[in-house]
Amino acid sequence: MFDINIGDDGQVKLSGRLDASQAENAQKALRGISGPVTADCTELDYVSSAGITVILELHKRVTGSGHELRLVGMNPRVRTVFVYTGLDKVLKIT
Amino acid sequence: MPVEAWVRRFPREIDALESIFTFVRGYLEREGLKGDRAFEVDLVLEELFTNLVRHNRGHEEIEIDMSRADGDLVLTLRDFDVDPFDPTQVARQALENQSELSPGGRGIILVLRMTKEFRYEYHDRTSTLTARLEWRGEQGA
Repeated sequence: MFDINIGDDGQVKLSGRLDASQAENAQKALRGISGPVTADCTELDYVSSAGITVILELHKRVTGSGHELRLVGMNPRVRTVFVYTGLDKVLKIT
Repeated sequence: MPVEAWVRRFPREIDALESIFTFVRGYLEREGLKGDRAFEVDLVLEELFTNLVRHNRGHEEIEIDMSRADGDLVLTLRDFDVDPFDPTQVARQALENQSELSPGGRGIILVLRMTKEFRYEYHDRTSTLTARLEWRGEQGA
């Protein structure tokens, strides 16, 4: 189960498991966002390469518009996925 | 008495992932292994399964076999009646060009980082991927 809540103020909350079966829906939900974004990942339990591709696309769109994407509250296991793929050096994870 | 094998075939579609994760939970419960390691097992299986679905033009279901050997957890995926495609070669290229990784390349990098052995074999039109994860003898729920 994966869920995205998008607020009016650039706040995005990601919850559950962002695996390959959820990636397309996540991509569609995030497609309209191009302003500054803070993504709350405190309830994101799982992410795979398909999931980080979705987040990376959001990052490219947001930074391409001159803004910033911040990923906050990531649990250690989810963070490991970003570290192992070297994306912790590309994305702003706090 | 021999322990019953933990083997099942899954439709070659991405939506089979939920059934695969349930299959993993069943095995970990049977073996009395800690549930918190399920994250790594799910991740390795998802990356390998989706790799087979995306790159092999097969029609058969994909078989997943979970077992233990010398304390390690061994994941074996068999894809029947397909042409050869060796993701371990992709892995080598991905490691050399990490700055230009494709989504598939990132998945294989994750498998390499999370396993102590990752092997590809091809016989009789069957591709077999074997991933071995160190379990460090952890027991209990």
